[in-house]
Amino acid sequence: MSRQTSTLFSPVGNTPLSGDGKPKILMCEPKFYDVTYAINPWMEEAEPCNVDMARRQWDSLYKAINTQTDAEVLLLEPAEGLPDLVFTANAAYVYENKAIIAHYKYEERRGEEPVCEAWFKQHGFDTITMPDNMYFEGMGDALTWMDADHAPRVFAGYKTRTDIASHSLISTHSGLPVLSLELISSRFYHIDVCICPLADGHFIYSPDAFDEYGNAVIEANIPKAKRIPVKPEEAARFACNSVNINNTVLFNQGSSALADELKQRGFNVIQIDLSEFLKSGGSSKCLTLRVA
Amino acid sequence: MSNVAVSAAVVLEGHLIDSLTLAKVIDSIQKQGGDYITNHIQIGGEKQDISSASITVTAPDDGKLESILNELAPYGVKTAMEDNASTQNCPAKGEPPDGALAVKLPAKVKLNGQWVAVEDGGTELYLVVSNNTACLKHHQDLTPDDTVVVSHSGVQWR
Repeated sequence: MSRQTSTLFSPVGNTPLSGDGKPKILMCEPKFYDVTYAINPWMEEAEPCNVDMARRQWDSLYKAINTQTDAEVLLLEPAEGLPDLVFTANAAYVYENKAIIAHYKYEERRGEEPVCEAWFKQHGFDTITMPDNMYFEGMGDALTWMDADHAPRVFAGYKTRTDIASHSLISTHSGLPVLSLELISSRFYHIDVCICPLADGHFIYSPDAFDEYGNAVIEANIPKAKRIPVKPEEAARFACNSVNINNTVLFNQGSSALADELKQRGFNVIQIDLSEFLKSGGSSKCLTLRVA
Repeated sequence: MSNVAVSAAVVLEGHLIDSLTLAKVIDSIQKQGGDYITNHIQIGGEKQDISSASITVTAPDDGKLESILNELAPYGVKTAMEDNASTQNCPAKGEPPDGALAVKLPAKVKLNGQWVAVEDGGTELYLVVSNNTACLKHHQDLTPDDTVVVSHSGVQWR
């Protein structure tokens, strides 16, 4: 499949995104963010959320992306009663002009589905929805990467939140090969808290998040020199939940070994305190969705 | 495996080979004390193509079989009996629809150092259905009027 470069989005929506070449990142202000239910171990163990602190932390991430990278941040309107809408990474899997809309495993998040589908339609995307009996949690569980031949491919996670059957639909609609990786830990419940493909083939990952099959698939596809395994304690600080925009990598503070490794590889590193979002089991990557 | 008492035909599809999903499923069956027979595997031609497989899982008793099948469910394994077979019409003469189940026949056999052509060999057979009947047709005999099975679901191999 050839990548479109000039016109990124079909002009069928109300306000199609401009194809100016700047990366576009979708975020959602934490106006209604809080930890009000528990659908993962992080939420079960969480201290009460300081929503004012969360707002300041989100602002820091927003500002860093808008001012210290080449990207433009787009905003999804917050919705009362949907505290996790702030985690836009889960809204959909986006490739070119297609958005495969999430269908959440937990009822608590299903109210987000029509909100996100409407946003994608309004911005000129072709939207695809999952069958009722098939769960899929967007780019929380499907990440595009470039192989050694610079061909786009997808790593997709399954078992904890996303059904493996959804991976066939991703492949059918995107035309991309998908590598399915079983997520073996309830703490690392989305693949975007276990891996982060970076520019130039570099690849952050937590080997402990996968069984021997998953690690074998990663090792067969990512050259050793490009692999950056993170320590368990840094994985628990959501080191893998990083945002990569061109040469810049942003992630939660407290992962100094990863920061040093990335700097040695020539990346610009930005660490931001996102501790209030870790209480929900999310960090910088979960708070962002690259839509162009 | 001895004393096999029960079995179930199951199907799975996806990126089974590159993702090691099929290897994982087979290992899981054996680790749990079951065994398996491969009925048919159809491997996608391109990296983005979906592969599918039909296997028969065997176990010493119903309880063990149910336990094995429950363990396999997250890998997309489902019993072949759950759904009807999926079908599509042939787009043109001699052209099966995408995803059509194909049984490839061997073309030649080496005998005493010489390759000998197999009678009717070197072709593919397809499952053609019509009015609640089913038959196998050679690739070159397919016509646009033929409805061909394109799923492992709803197909029993033995």
